[in-house]
Amino acid sequence: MFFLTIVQDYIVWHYSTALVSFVRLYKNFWWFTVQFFSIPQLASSLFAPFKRITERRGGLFDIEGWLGFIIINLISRLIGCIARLSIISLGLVCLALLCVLGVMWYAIWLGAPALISYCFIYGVYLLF
Amino acid sequence: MQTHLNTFRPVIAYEQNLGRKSLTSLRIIFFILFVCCLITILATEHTGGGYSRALLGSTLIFFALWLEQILLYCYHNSFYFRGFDSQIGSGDKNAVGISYEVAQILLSNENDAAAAFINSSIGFEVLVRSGLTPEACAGFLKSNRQFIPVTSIPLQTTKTTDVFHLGEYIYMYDASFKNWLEQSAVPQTLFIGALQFVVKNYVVEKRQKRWWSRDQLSLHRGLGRELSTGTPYELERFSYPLAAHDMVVDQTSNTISHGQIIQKIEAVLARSRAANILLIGEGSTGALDILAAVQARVGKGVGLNALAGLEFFVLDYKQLLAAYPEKFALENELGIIFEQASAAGTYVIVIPDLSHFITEAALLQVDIPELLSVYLALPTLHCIGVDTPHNYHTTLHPNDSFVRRFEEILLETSTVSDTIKILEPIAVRQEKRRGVLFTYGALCSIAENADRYLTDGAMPERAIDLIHDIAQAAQSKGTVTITQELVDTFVAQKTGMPVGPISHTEQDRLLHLEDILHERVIGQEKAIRAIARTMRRARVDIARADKPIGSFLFLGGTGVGKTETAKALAHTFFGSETNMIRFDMSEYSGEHTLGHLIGDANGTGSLTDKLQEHPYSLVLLDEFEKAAESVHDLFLQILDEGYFTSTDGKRINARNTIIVATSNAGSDLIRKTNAIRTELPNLDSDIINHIIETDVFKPELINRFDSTIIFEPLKKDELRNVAKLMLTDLTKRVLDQGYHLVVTPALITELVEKGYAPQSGGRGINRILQDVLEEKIAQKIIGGEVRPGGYLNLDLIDFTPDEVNV
Repeated sequence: MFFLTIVQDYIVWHYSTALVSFVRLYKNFWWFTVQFFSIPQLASSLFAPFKRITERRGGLFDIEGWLGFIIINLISRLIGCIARLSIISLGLVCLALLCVLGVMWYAIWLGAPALISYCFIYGVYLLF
Repeated sequence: MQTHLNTFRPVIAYEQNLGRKSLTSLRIIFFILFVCCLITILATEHTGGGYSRALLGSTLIFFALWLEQILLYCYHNSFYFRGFDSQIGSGDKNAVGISYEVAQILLSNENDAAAAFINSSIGFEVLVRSGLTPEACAGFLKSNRQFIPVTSIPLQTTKTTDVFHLGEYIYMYDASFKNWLEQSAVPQTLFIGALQFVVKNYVVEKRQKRWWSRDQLSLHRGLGRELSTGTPYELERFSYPLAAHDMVVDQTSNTISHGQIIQKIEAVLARSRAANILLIGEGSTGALDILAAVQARVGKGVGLNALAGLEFFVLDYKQLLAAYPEKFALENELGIIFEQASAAGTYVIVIPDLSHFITEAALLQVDIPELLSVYLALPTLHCIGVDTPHNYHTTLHPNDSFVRRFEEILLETSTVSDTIKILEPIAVRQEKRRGVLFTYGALCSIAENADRYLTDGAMPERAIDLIHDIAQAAQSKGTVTITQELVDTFVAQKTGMPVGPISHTEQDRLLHLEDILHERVIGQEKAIRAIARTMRRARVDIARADKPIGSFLFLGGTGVGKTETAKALAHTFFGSETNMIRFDMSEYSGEHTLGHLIGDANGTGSLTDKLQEHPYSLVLLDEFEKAAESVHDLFLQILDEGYFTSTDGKRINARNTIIVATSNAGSDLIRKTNAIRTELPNLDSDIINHIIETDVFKPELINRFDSTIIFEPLKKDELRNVAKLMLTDLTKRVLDQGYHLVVTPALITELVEKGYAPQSGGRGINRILQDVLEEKIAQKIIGGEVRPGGYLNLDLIDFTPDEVNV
């Protein structure tokens, strides 16, 4: 009797409350991935110099200084952009993975009771 | 309530059969078995051999069981954390209902809520921390009482009903439970405090289990932020992130006063320029705790938007000075540190004991204020200096241009209730480390005793030091439960002050205080009675704790026993007359003399120094009426609040002292009135009115004393007893020289007769004893009339009339 009550209660929870809770949980993981890879911060400073490493501007007629300023800053910004893009890409890959995992998890979740029953019964059948 | 309980019934029944830990173990076991089977299948496949049906069957079964355990884990968690966001204040739309623990408690005994609470692990812990024994709990459960059924407990309307509210409800509405606690010396404040403490600990522990929640996920540091900001490598070498600070309190412990300071700090840091702060308060722990709370808010994203991404690092300047003990190297390194931090733009450099850093660097000829001035003006760098009021006044304040770079925020010294909250997580850590258990009463007692009786250092550091010392002492003695009594005994041993329950010896001393004082003070029945009453009140804590133990204004002429009473009090309460600090207040009659007491530009003050050396003592202020008005005003504050602030900003505690001010003011009136009347029913008020009318003391000053005590002029027979007391003392001194002194009653009577003068009281007797008796003794010893070990018999006939008429 106790077992049946639990099973009945569980099934109701599995297809109602749990589905809503997973949406909330999923949002948490989405938020965490975005924050962990600092996607908004890196995107907003995509072309900023790498680790703020810059060269100061030379005098008005100091061509060497100007060249150094332009080249160093360009290189710094380029490296910064590449490094940021790498992390943003990694973050986006993780987000994509999260999307896939989310869908998979939902699919598995919906079919889990049936899957468990099938695997268990078929396993017992194979065993004996 | 019933509906909510029914919702939890299946899951709790399930947990009763298979606990949460077993669920986790099973999940892991099935997963391992499943993986093992799968690996075996793959290995057999790889080697070309076919796997058996049994192996495939086992794999499928273990997979099914593992998956089933995952689903059950989710199912259980869904109930286990129901309403938890509402409990921790993160908000929950479906907040109304009951928490898992409440359901677990109430379902264990639906007819008797109190029994269900006591038998639960949380409820039992609450009672043990309230100071009750398991036997007392069992006794209560067996007693004949009325039960409250769980269905009659109402739900909270806006929040989840948790264990705290359940405990509170049972206390309020179960009369037998409440009576039992009261009879067991557990007042409401203690029970509610213990309940809050236990529930808070439980919430902290439960919070860590919910790794998927935003507050736990936000603890992970993100990747790539330094790409935009840069990494201040040199700063990281000589500093540590604030969150790692050992004394950081749990965020649930934040107090209301801290909340206001946190808001102020956030507002200053959010400024676009000169966002530097100087936190001024006694002790740096409290300041670092507050900054850690700001850091935690920034991390969770609940602080101001402008502060997003800020990271607090505490500069370890001692390590820095040790690594660079030369001027140029140190200046160069500091430049790099601040340059890098400024370039990164998201770092807040916290410098604890800023003035120490400045003075120690000055020894290497490094001018820190000048060096930092450039960086402090930058919008990309935030600097927070922490210092005490004393050091601020002496080191920082004179450097006006440097101080102007900072916004000053004053930190109030922790109140006792704030301190208790700060002690709670520390107690939990100590319990885990040392295998002891603090009752909530013990924590309250630690905070109160540290505030009242310990003077070295600031609050809450004093209380934190005390909790460590007590835990260590308990561990070494093998004591498991640290109770309030244990704390009181420890503090009493440490300070020599009578703390906590009154011992038999002390009980006897307090009840017979009049007799003890009369052993040294002759007459003055009324005065001695008034003093004894005040001191008894002070000991049982009926008197205010934020004032000196006792304060008296002794009024009366010379030689009536004022000073002797003060000495006797010092001896009775502090064990020795040496614990008496004596000030001749006629030395403080000029207005400029206040500085001599509390310190001035030339150095520290005598009152400051002596109170720091002897915090538990009797302060005797002789001839108080002669002190300047500013000095009277100083004592107005001391008598009212029990402390004063020295010129250098240090808070000096005078709460463990007995203050006795003596004065001759009104002594003529006392003598005259006494001569006219034998009974003196209105004498006290007449004298006090006279003193106020003649502007000797302000009425508010007189009112600040616990008692104004009038010492009446001594009568002749009382003076005879005074003479006897003095003779006993003289006999002892003569005996120390090796002679036995014997004085006849006739001689004593004659000496009292000659020495009696209403205006000089006992002093006259003392003088005549010195001039007549001591002189005679000296003559006899020098003249060789008596041998060492022999008897010196003195009678009236040994003296000529001239010798007696001095």
